[in-house]
Amino acid sequence: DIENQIYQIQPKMSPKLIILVIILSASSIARSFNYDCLGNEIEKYTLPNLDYELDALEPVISKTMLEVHYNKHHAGYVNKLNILMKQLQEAMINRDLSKIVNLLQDIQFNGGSHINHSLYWKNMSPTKLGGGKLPDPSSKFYQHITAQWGNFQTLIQYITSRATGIKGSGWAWLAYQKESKQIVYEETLGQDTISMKGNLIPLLAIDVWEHAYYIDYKNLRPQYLKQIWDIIDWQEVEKRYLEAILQQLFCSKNYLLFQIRIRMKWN
Amino acid sequence: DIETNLTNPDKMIVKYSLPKLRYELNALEPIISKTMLDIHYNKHHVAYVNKLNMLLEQLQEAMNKGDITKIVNLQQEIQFNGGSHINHSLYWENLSPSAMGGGKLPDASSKFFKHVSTQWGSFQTLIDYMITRATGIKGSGWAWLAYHKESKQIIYEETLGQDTISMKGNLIPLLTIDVWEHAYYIDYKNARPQYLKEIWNIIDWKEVEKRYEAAIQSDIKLFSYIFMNQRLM
Repeated sequence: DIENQIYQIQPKMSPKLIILVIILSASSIARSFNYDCLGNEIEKYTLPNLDYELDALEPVISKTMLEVHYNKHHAGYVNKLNILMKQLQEAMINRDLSKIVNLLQDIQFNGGSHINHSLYWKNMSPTKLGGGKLPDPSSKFYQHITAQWGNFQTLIQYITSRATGIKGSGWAWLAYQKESKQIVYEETLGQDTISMKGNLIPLLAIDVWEHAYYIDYKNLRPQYLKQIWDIIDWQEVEKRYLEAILQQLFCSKNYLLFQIRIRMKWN
Repeated sequence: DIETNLTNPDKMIVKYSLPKLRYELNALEPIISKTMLDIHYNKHHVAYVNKLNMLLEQLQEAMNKGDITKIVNLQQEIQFNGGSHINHSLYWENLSPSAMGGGKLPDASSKFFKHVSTQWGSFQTLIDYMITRATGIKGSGWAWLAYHKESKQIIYEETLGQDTISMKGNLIPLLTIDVWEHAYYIDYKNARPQYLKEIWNIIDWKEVEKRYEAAIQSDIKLFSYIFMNQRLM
């Protein structure tokens, strides 16, 4: 069964691409240790660049609202995260367990926020860049959704109604559950990340903190959740889905041997 | 603010309503603008009240039918909307325009003033502490000053979502400050610290003191009851 899945994806994965993926994951792991063992800064966390202009998501998200959300809220979390990480590094060097433990909740909050918001910006897109456009019906992702949820409209209505009901600040998610290989709806409160809930890969994130919609929609969260589908970048969601499957295969046993077998079959 | 449906005694339906504000919608300016107060009161709070009434009706039906599943399913929503109604009602009541005494500290000779000074040193210390803590609430919630009955202490507490202060234990609410983003976003956007700095200009310390007096009174009543019973024994 896994073989069949790989056969379907393989044409997109040349050996060069595999090597690239390996190099990129290695370097991102290296980059995640921002400070060397002497406490010197290697690299700070930064606001990710948006793939679109600040006014590009109008009228769904106004320029003003996007600007405040991105340049004030997200930037605030990133700055706080960098300060905390530096304090964490110092506390680790000093072996100050009390301090380490005290920092963890704030790091989880600000770090979680950085992760969540970065995913959020990336899975939105103006209409002219493909925002709102459903994936191709022949794609694996489209077929998985329809097999599990019936159709995209059902899924969208479900997410909208659940996300409306989140009591307070939190996030609504579409995620890939690794063991069951299911695409599931999930919720997190505050700035908790989806991976905190278990073996879940985030596919789609929607911010339902009030700051995500208040300027344009005030108390009308249902209206925000109805409009946002016009700017959801389903291409990005699909990409994350394929990477999730790839990751599973990448980690499975005998993967290399299996790769060799496939190539020999091709040749 | 409760009206009961007495025409059908078998199904007593309690209907909650928005409490009346003691001040005009523009009275809390410039700290809370008319627009922001209007939306917070007439859109957010109203929606909680309407939802609460609907849920209580559903609860009554479920109880009449003995539908335990439905009863259980309703609990979380009732806690949320009901808690919200309680919290917001306390919030409106402990705010007041300066013309009506908002921002004015209690009299230095009062029991309440002395209790706060004894425990916290000064009102400024207490206020600074509340600002720091309330700023740090991660997400939607409320910042409280409360009277703890066993220890007879005036303490700071936090609740998340629409949890009420009494859910945390034997605590009487004295002062409450809404730190849900909708409570400040229109006027302050992301600058929650600014909102928390300004709000002290409209805190009605008379109301806070009134709640404190009521809280300690109930202690005294209980004490005299026990005392009387012991004497009789």
